[in-house]
Amino acid sequence: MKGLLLKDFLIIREGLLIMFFTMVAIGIGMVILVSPWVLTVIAGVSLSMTAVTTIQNDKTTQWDKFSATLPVSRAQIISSKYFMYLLLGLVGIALGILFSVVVSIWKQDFDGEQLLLYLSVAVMMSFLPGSISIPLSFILDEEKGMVGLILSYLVTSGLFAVIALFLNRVLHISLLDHLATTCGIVAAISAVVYIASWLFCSKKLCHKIF
Amino acid sequence: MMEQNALVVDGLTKQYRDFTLDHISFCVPRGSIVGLIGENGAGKSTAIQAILGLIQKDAGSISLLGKTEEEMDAATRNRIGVVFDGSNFPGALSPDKLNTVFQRIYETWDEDVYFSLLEQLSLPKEKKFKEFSKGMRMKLSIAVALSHHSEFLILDEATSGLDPVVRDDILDIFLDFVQDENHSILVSSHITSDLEKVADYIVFLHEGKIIFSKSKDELIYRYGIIKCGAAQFAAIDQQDIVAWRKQDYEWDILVADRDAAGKKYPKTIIDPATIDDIMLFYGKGERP
Repeated sequence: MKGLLLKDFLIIREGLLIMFFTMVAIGIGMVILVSPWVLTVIAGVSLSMTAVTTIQNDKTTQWDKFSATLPVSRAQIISSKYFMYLLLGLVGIALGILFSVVVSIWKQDFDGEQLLLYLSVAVMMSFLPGSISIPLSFILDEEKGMVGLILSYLVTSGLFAVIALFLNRVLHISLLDHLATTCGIVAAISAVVYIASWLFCSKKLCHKIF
Repeated sequence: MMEQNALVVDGLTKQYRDFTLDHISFCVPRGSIVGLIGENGAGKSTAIQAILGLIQKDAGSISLLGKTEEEMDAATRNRIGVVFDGSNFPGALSPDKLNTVFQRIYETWDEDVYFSLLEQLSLPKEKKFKEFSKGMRMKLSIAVALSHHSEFLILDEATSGLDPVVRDDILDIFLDFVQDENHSILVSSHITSDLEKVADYIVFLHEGKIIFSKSKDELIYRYGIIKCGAAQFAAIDQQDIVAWRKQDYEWDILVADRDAAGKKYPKTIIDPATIDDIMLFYGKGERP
């Protein structure tokens, strides 16, 4: 699996510099306009999403067909994508937090609750869409895979709304009063769904994918 | 004990809505090159994909280097080199970077062999794959397939779309490879002239069925085409005819033994048949 990860890393590295400068530009804008913590979400989502684009890239270059003839199992091919997504998502979130902490300390308005809130949102917005977009990108062709990627973010927003409604209507917990709690619950669900998607896709779905 | 055949395909069947690969059986003996020929859509790529396990077969059995599909493991895959038509590698990677990738994928990867093949094939190490011409891409794919001590090469339309010089280089590589009697090649192509140069056996697929599986020498040295008029055509024993085609003013008849036909019909003209001719007769000709 090391070779497959290295291949994806070398491809992603090609566009990393452009992404870095884009992040810096967005980060500066966010510091001025909204909150530096937003960058945690943007960095996590943007970096992890590049792992999904490598699946589409594999199809365009026919590497997907070729990789199925290599001395690696199909489960390993699928797992390498999930692993790369996880790695990039965590690195993005970590870099976003680092940037946000430095800026907020510099601005003397560091808020631990904000940190937890945005960390939860970043985990949710990175890993829940990934659990949908990775299998869809394997199964669908390039164009439909892109639709799947967009759809995964819509599903995430929808799930967030459903959980918020459930907390509000059934448990009578106000979303605004318990925003961090709500986000934390959705983040935990996202992590569980991501792991479940990984296991299901690599064990059950691999024969349908290749 | 080492198996006599590198590949044994028995009754392989794959059914699609509009096409069926219909109970095909053939083998690739060790130390030989087998050419899989047939028109576009005959089922060559479907057969190769089924052999490689890229598609699920509906029936039949496949034994690749002595292993069935269920027994196929990483160690066996290390011994198989595969080249598909078109590009196989990510455009952003150079041959040099591909070396670092394949070192971590193939246990038997041999960097020295790889770089010497790059040099032999005049391929740049640092240039990105997307900047390569079609011929260079194909050469690189073959270099990769040969750099992990493969025993069996499977090539799907590896020479199509290439100029004659590059094709000749590639055919030379194939001939070098099978100098080792443990090495074998299965190559699909619709360019039969290439296979006439290198193949030991020819398997002809037509509309998903195997029409014949014969040694190349038998096809080239024994088959012939009788060119005759209507009266001579009527006089020829139907049992001697493999297939015939009616041209404007003459009949062309494919016979399986041109020497015997020459003795039996001394007044006829019998030309040697190329693989292309034989393919055309079987594919488009009429049978007795």
